[in-house]
Amino acid sequence: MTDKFNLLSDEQLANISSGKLWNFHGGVHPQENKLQSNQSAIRDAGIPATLVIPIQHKTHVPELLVKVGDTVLKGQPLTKVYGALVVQHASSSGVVVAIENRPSLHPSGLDMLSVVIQTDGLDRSVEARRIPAYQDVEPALLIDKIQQLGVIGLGGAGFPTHLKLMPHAEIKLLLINAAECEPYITADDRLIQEQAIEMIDGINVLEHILQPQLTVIAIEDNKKDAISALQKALQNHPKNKNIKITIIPTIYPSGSAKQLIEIITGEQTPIGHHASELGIVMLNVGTAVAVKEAVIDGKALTSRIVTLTGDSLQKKGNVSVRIGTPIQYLLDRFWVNTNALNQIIIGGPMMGFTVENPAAPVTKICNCILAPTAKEMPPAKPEMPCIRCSECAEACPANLLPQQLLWYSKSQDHDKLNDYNLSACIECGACAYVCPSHIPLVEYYRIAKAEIRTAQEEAKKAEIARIRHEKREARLAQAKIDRQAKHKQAAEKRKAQLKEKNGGEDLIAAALARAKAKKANASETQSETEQPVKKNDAVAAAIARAKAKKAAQAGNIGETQQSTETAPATPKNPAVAAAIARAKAKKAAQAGNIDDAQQSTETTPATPKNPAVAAAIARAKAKKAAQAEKATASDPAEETSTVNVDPKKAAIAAAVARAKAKKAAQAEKATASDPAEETSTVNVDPKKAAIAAAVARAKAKKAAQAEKATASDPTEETSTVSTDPKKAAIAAAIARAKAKKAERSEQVEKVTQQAEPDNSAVIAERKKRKQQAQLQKQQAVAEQVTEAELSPAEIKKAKIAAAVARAKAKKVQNSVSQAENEEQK
Amino acid sequence: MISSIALAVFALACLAAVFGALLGYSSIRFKVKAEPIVEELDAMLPQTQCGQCGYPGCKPYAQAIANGEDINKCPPGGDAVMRQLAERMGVEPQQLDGEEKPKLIAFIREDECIGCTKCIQACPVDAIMGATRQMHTVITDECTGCELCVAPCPTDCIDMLPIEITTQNWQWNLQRIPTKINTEL
Amino acid sequence: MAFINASSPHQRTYRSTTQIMLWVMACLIPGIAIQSYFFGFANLIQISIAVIVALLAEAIILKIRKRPIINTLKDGSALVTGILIAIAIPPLAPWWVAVIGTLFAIIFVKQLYGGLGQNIFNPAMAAYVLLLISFPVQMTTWLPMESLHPFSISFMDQLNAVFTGHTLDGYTVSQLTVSIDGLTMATPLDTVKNSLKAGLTTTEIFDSAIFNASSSQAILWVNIGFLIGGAVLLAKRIILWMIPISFLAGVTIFSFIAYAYQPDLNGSPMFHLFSGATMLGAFFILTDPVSAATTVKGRIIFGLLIAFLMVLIRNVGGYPDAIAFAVLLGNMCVPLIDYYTQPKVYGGRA
Ligand code: SF4
Ligand code: SF4
Repeated sequence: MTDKFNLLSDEQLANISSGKLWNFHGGVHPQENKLQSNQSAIRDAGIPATLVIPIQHKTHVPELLVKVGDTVLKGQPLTKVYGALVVQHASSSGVVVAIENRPSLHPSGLDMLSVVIQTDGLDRSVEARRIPAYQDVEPALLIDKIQQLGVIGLGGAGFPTHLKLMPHAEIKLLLINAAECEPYITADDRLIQEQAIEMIDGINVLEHILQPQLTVIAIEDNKKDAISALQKALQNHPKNKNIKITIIPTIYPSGSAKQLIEIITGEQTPIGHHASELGIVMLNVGTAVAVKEAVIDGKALTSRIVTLTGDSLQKKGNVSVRIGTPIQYLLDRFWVNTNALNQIIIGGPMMGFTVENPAAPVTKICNCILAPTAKEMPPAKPEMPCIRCSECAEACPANLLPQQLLWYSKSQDHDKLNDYNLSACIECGACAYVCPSHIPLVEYYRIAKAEIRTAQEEAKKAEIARIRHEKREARLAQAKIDRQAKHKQAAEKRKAQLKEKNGGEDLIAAALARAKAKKANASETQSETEQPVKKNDAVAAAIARAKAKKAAQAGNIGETQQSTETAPATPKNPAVAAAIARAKAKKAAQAGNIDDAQQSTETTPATPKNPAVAAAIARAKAKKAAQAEKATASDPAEETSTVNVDPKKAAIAAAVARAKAKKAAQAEKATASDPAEETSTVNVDPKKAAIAAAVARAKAKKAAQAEKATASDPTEETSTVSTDPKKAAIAAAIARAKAKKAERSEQVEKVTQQAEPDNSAVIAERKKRKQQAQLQKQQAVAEQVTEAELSPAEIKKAKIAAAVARAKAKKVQNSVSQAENEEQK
Repeated sequence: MISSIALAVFALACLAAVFGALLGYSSIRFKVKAEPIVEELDAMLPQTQCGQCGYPGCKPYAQAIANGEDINKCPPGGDAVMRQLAERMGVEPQQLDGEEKPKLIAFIREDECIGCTKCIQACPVDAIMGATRQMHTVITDECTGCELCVAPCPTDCIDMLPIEITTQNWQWNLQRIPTKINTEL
Repeated sequence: MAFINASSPHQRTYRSTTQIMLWVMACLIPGIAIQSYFFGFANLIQISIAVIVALLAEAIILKIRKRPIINTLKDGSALVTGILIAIAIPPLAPWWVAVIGTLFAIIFVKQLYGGLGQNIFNPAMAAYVLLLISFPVQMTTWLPMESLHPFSISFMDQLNAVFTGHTLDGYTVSQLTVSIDGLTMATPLDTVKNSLKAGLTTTEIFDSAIFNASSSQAILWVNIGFLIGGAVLLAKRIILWMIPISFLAGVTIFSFIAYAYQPDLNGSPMFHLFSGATMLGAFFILTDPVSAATTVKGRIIFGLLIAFLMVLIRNVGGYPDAIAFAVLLGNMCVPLIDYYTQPKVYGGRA
C-alpha cells in the first residue's frame, strides 16, 4: 500500500518550496463574510455554570475515571484511553453532578453519554507536566502525551492527532492548513494573528516528531494580517529555514485536505488511500497550537477558538470557549437577537450542520457557531428538476458528475453510484451551491452514502450470519454422527462383554433366534414345539395366557382361539378341546345364533360319546362368527366337567380347530405364548394344569371390565364346591343374576370347581375373593334373589340354567332383555 | 439480371457470415460468468435464517427458488430482496408474503433467565451465549432478528427490540430537512 | 427553542433555473429584432402563438400529471421552447403550423418523457423536424426581404396572412414570396441546393440574382444578431463555451474541408456559418442543457458531431437546412458520449 514511488520526489519538494501552485478542478467563490468576526481580538467566553463534556464516541464509551460527586480540576482526565480515542478532560474546576445522556453536537442531535460538571468558578488547574526540552524526548512518548492530553484535529473533522503523527510511510512534507476557506469562519485567521509564535513552536514539535523534509504553511490570500504575522514570527525564528509560507488563491474549498494537497503539490491522494502514503501529513493551525500547549506547556486541550458570527449576534468575533460550554450560554453572552435567530449552524455555511437544541455543548470540532438571520440565510427554495446544466460538475472540486450522482442517488442504484465514485465526494457543497434548480445535492449524497454503508454493513452481517449458520449446521451434523458412532460403540462393547460372560455364546441372539424359530414352527410342527419341556412352564403359560386375554380384550380374536387351542393339545384333556369348541359356538351364538349355542352346550354333555361331533359343530359355528371379543378364556376348564370324551376323537377335533385358529391368528403375543402354553399342558399333570388355569382365570377376571361380577364369582365358587347340586343351581342362579346385572362376567368358575375339586384352585380363588371383599354387599343381594328361585331347581336344570346364564353372560354386549327371554326357556 | 441477383445474394451471405462471426466471438469474449444460481440467490437473501419462508434457512430457500418456488416469501428481506430475486429469476415482482418489519434484535432479560439453554439450541447463528443454569445473553452483533429464540423460552424473557439509534448508525434523511420537492425525479 | 434544520450548504448562488431561461430569452432579442426588421413583424405573431400554446399545453399536461403548475411554468422552459419553434418556422407560415409544432414539442417530446430535465431530444428541434417532414411547402416558404417586396405588406397584412393565408389585399402567401423579378423566394440554403441541382456552381449561384434576392443578406444579419446574443450568454456564463465553440469550429473545419475538396459544389465556411440557423443553433439550441452532453469532453464531442452532421447534410443530403436533424442525431448519441467521457475523478483511476 505504501509504495515508495508514491512519495513526493525531491524535485516535487523543490517545486513546492519554490511556491509553485497547482489548481484543482472546480471550486466556487461564495461571499466571504469574514470581516464581521476577524476585526476583534479573541476573547474569553468565561466559565458557564455547567459544562457538559461528551465522552462517548459513536458507540464507544471509554472507561470513566470520575464518578458523580467527584471534584475535578481543569485539565483532569475524565476517561481512560479507549482504543484510538483521546482522553477527555474537565475544562474547568468543579464537581461532577451527573454522568448521563445529554444532547450532543451532532447533526442527528442524538443524546450521548456526557459528564456534567458544576463549575465552581475558580478554574483551578491540575499541575502541568511540561516538557520544554522536547527535542530530547522520544517522539513516541510525545505522541502518547498528545493522546493523553486529548489533542484532536481542530479544523472540523476531529481526527485524532496522535494517529496522524504515526504515519506508515516516511514523511516528506508537513502541511499546515491555514486556508480556512469556509465563509464566515475566522478562528484560524485570528489565532495566527495572535499566536503565530506558539504556532511555530507547535510546528517545531511536529517537525521533531515527523522529521519532514519540508514544512509548508498554506494560507489563503485573503488573510493579509495573518500572513504578515506569520512572516514576522518566522523571521524571529531564523532556524526555521524549512518552514515555508505558501499563499494560495482564495477559492472554496481550498481548505479541504485533498484539495489543498493538490494545490500545494499537484498530486491527488488516490481514492481510498491516505495522504501519508504520498509522504504528506496535514494539520490544522489550531492543532499545531494545541500540540505546542500539550507538549511544551503540558496542558490538556480544554478549550478552543470558536468564531461566533451571524447577523443574529450583536457581538461577533472569536472567543476561546471551554469544551463543554452549552451553546445557549454563548448565545446569551454574545447578545443573540432571539427574534431574528432561526437557525444555528455549527461550522461554516458551506459544510456546517444545523443543531436544533442549543443545549448542545461546544466540542473540539466546533470551529464556528453561525447564528444567521433569516434574511442572511434564506431557507432553501423549492427544489426544481435538474436541467443537466452541468454547473455542478463545473464546480465540483472532486471532478465528479453531481448530476449523475443525483440521478442514481434518487434511484438508489448503488452500483452506478460506485461507478461514478460517490465515495470521492467530500460533501463540500459546491455543487449544491451553484445548482440553479436548488437541489440539495449534498443531502442526497449523504443519504446515499449512509444507505450504501448500511447496505454494506448488512451484507457483511448477512455473510457472517450465513457462515455462522453453515458452521452451526455442520457442527450439528457432526454431533449427530458422533453420537451415533458412540452409541454403536457402546452397543458393541456391551455385546462383547456379554459374550465374554457367556463363554462366547451370544445368549440374546440365541434367544431371539429361538423365539423366531418357534414362531415359524408353531403352525407346522406342533409336536416339535412340545418337546422342550420345563417344569415351571405352567406358570409361564398361565401368564402368557393372561396376556393373551388382555390382548384379546383389545379385540384380538385369533389370540383367544389359540389360547383355547392350547388345551386340546393335551390328550389327557380332551374335554378342554370340546370346551373350546363350545366357547366358539357361544361366540357364534352371540353373533345372533343363541339357540344354536344352547343346543351345542346341551348336546355336549348329553352325548358324551360324540364329543367330536359337538366339537365339530362348535367349530363350524366358530368359523362362522369368530368375532366376539370376550373370548372365553375360562371355558377350557368348564368343559372338563361336562364332557367325558373319547380322547382320540377329541384330539383330532382339537387339532383341526387348532390349525384353523392358527390360520386366523394374527396377534403375535398370542402365537408367541402358544408354544409355551402347549408345552405346559402337554406334560403337566392335571393338578398343575388346574393351577395354571386358575391363575389364568384370575387374571382374566381382573382384566374383565366388570369388577363386580368377578368379585362375586369366587364366593360363588366356594359355596358351590362344598354344596350339593341344589346349591349349584343356586349358584347358577346367582350367576345369572349377576350376569344380568353386570353383563360381562364369565361363569367359568362354577364349572371349574366341578372339574377340578382341587384345593389349590380353591386357594387361588380365595385369594381373589379376599382381595375383592368389598363387594360382598352385592353378593348378599344376589343370594336373596337366588333363594327365591331355589326350590324348583334340579341338578340338570341347574346345569342347563347355568349354561344358559353363561351364554347370556357372553352375550353381554347384546341387550339384557334378550338374555332374560332365554332364561325363561 | 442474374448477375445482380447473384451479387445481392453474395453480399447478403457475406454480411451474414461477418455478423455471425461477430456474434459468435462476442458471445465467447463477453460471456458473463454464470455463478451457480443458488449461490447467487443465497447471496441476495438476508441470511436471517428465520425460516419464515418455510424452509430451514436461507440457503434451502434459495435452492427452492431455483427450483421454481415463489420469490415473495422472505419478509425480512422485504420488497427490495423480493425485487432482486424477481429480476434474477426473470419473473414479475409479487406482493410480499408477510409483513416487512423493521429489523429487531433479541434481548434476554437477564434476571429472568433460568439458564435452560433452549434459546441457544434455537438460534440458527449461534448468537446466544450461556451455559446450563447460567444466565444467557445475546451477542447483538450476531443476532439476525429471526425471533426463533423467543418461542422456546420457558420464562418468556426474550424481547425483540429495535436497534438503538446511535450516531454510528444514524442515517441522514431528506425529510429531516424542510425541502419541498415539487417535481418528480 | 428549536431551530430549523437545514442541509448544507446554507449559502447558495442566487441564480435559478428561471433566471437562466430569462437570460436566454433576453439574448434572443437581437436576433429576433433583426428578423423582424428584414421580414416584417410576422415572426412576433408566430412567437405569440407558440408561447401561448406552449404555456397552455404545459399547464394542461401538468394538471393531468398532477404536478404543481405555477411553479413549473415559472421555470420558463416551455416559454423558451415556444420561442425557438416560432423563430425556426417561416414568419408567414399558417398559424396551425406553429400550434402543431409547439403542441408536439411540449406534449410529446418534453412532458411524455417526464418533463423538464427528462427529455432526450431537443423539443424545439424535434418539432421543427416534424413540421418540415409534414408540411414541406409551408415550412420552406420564406418571404423576400422587405426591400425586395413587390408590394408593401403591413403588419395587419401579415397577421391576416398567418391566420387566413391571405393579405388584406387578397394576395396569397405564395404570391407574396415572389419578388419583384418574379422569382420565387427561398432561403439562401434552398437556393443553393436548388441551383446546384440545376447544374450551377456555387460561384455562379452566389453571383446570381436569385441568390442575392434570396434574402441572404437578411439571413446573414439575423445570424449576426444571434451571435451577439450568444456572446452575452457566454459572458454571463449562462451557457458554457464548450458546445458553441466546438460547434462553430466544427462547422468551419468541416465546411472548409468540403469547400477545399469541391469548391464548386460546396459552400464556403463563411456561407455555412452565417446561413440558415447556424448561430441560433450554436448558442440557443445545442446548448439546451437537458438534451446536450454534460461532461466537458462530451460537450466538445457533441458540438463537433453536430457540426459534422450539419455540414454533411447541407452539402450532401436532401434537406436544405440540416441543423435540426443534426441536433436530433446528436441528442441520440448523448448517453453514449457522456458514458465514455466521464472525467477522471479526484484521486481516481485515470
Ligand atoms: S459535494 Fe461532492 S459532488 Fe458536490 S461539489 Fe463537493 S465533492 Fe463534488
Ligand atoms: S447544477 Fe443542478 S440543475 Fe445543474 S446539472 Fe447540477 S444538479 Fe442539475
